[in-house]
Amino acid sequence: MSARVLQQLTSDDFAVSAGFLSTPGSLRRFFHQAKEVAAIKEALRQEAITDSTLRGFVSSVLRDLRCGERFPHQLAIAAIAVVLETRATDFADEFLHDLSRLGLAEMSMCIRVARECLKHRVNLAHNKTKVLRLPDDGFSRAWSPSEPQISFKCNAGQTSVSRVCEVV
Amino acid sequence: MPTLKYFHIADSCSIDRETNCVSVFNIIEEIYGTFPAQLARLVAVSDWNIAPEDYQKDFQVTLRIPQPWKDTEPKHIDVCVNFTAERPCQRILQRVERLPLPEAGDLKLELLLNGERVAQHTIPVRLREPDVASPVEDSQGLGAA
Repeated sequence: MSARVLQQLTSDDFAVSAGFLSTPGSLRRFFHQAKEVAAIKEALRQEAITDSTLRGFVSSVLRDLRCGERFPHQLAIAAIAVVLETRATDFADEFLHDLSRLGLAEMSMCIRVARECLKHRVNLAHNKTKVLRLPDDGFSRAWSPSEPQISFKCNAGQTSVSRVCEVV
Repeated sequence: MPTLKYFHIADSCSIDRETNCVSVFNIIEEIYGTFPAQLARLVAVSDWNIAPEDYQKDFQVTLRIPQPWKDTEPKHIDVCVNFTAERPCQRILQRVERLPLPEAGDLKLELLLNGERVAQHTIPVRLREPDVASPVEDSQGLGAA
């Protein structure tokens, strides 16, 4: 399944289905409704493919990029950009930003689609995480809420339930 | 300046890669136990509204955890996250593992933006009374240790 959902982006049928669209906005909207794009999103959701699979696919099709010739897989790259538009991963950020910054005439359409995707992606909240791991002091007893010592305390006369965490 | 939309202290949280929706699990309201102890994990989740005029500016969000029992300065732990404002919403997740809880008292976790306090979440840390068992413990036959 993983290879098939991506390989169909390079098929003639896919090129014919979207080839009549000439503006990045219309291409983006078309791809959002395309069954091929929906299949890739579903494969990502089911983890049949990952960001690494997409990265590998993009690398493989970019081998056909030739200076001075129209890039033959522009629609495939544009479709990947649409897939990644709503995906909250570092790879999605990297792919869309890197592609939109390119100035290659050979793949101008997929670059402009990536810029369209970025415009819409701006409404997606950005996430930043930091983890601080403190040393184990060796004598304290560790507590984890996932252990069975969690208890709920109900307040009489109220509808709310407060959570009481316990140290063991 | 960014404005705080919400701030929670919880056991864990998850962000859906497909929808970018955040789920917060087990908001910590109180802690009961025997001391000294270490809290295996906690996560501070804050969400910030960013005004367009703040785009491309750098900000720092700090989770300050007081450690009043320490002999040396500073008597707190800071978990700092720097970000450049680029979108209308910015989520900050600060995870802390093995937080020491040497004694009972109020655990006052502060959230600072560029060094200025904007929110506080107080968690009462109390000594567990062994003779008082909660309803769940009773039903599960766990009882106090």
